[in-house]
Amino acid sequence: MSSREGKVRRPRELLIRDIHAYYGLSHVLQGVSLAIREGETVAILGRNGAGKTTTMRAVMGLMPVRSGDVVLDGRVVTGRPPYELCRAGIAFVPSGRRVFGSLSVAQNLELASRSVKRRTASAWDRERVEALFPALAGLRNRPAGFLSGGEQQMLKLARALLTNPDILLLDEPTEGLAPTVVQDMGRWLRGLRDEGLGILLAEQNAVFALHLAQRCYVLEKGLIRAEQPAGELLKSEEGLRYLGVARR
Amino acid sequence: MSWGSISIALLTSLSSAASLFMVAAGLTLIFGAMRVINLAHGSLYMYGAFAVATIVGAASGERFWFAVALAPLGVAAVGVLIEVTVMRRVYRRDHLVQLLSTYGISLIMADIALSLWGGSPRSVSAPAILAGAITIAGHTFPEYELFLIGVGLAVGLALWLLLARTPLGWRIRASVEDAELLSVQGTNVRLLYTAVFGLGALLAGIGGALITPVQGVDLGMGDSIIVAAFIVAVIGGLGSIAGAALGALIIAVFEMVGTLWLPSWAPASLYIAMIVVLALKPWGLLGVKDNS
Repeated sequence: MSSREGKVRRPRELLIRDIHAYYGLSHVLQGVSLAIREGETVAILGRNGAGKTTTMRAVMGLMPVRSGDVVLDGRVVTGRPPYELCRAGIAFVPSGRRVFGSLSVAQNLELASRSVKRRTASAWDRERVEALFPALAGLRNRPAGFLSGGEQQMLKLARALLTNPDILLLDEPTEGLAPTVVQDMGRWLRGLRDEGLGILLAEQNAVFALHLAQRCYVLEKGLIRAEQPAGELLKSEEGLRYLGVARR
Repeated sequence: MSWGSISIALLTSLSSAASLFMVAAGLTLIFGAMRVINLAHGSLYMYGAFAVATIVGAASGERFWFAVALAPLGVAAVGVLIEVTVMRRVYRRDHLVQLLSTYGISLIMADIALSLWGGSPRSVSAPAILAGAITIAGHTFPEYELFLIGVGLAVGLALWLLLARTPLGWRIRASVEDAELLSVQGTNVRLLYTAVFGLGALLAGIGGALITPVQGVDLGMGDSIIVAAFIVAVIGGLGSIAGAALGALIIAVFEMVGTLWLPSWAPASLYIAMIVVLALKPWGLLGVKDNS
């Protein structure tokens, strides 16, 4: 794992400790605990409605956490507003086509990089982002609403990187993507991990997630059912069947 | 009917459209970002007018420009105060709570206005440099109202530049589309909303400050403008600044036509225009369907 040159410091990490959250009366997170360190990819797997998205939203301050803690680099950040968490180094990439459709690609990117003053050793700027996603460079003036699904995913990732995060929370990054773009996504995420980002990945596509992640958590009805190395789960018939992945 | 009188009628429509536009633009801007109908918007307009009347006082015009520069800023500050104390607590509540809150604020503002300025109307004369009139084919038109048309255009242009060219404007547009997404990207949306509310109040203040040489300043002026501004914003499509401009033009022309040819129908022209537009385009001329 590459750490940034020279300086001795503790690795950045995001800890989620026993968080509980409710939608109205429904107890949707019933004590979720997990950890992500920099340079590590962690998958949250589980069926629809298991609480994957809710976990991310709770971490990001988008829904109230009734009890439990979210700890970033040793600092408790539970319930802080989303923009503070972003500025503290957590980037949340929600699922679906969530770009600002009436703004151009360049404006979408500009908004993300302007909002965060944070500068890390390897700061992301427009040049670096366009080097990673060359297709975006040619689309600068196009309204983001007119991009293809794959281009929107690039824009969503690029935007997140411009906030210079340490931890990336990715909700369903392969949803609705063509198989070739899914492969690209895998390549991008490996590259980012190798640069030292910590990536938390919520996926329906268990095979994609398990090939990318070192560890995985299986979430069921708001509870962590299992935590294990991704390679083990990938080899276990029972585990895969549970996740609804047919073995070819 | 001569060309002269038609030109005058058109100019009159444009000047009333300019004034309506400034107020309606503030209303629609606030609605677009926060999804709140601010019933106290008319009160802010009235405060702008009274502030000018008070500053100018008996000084017959020489302090006019100073007053017109200062009053809208004061109104914007009142707007910020309203946002911080009340509005930010009701954004997530249902529309009824929001309407009652802003209505309550307008009642409080009316009482404060009564105790500050009393019940008697004031009048403000146009500054000397604009006190004259131009003549078109024997008909006269006040220079001040030409100036008002110019200000309306300038405000429209400034708003367009703000929204199209500046990062603040992009943030406002982004918050209209997806405020949650904007917040996870590091924007303090709460602060942004305060700024938008302040900007909306500033527009109401400018509208109220500049109308003073055209009409009397009284406690009822806020109530009449809020109805017209609301109709203008609805016709144009709530949330659309360009729609507010279009709506203001339509309403002003409708009123002019009504006044010239069907005087007994003139008071109803506003509502007739709204009914016709909404029957054809339920979301207003430039509005987009609200899925929330």
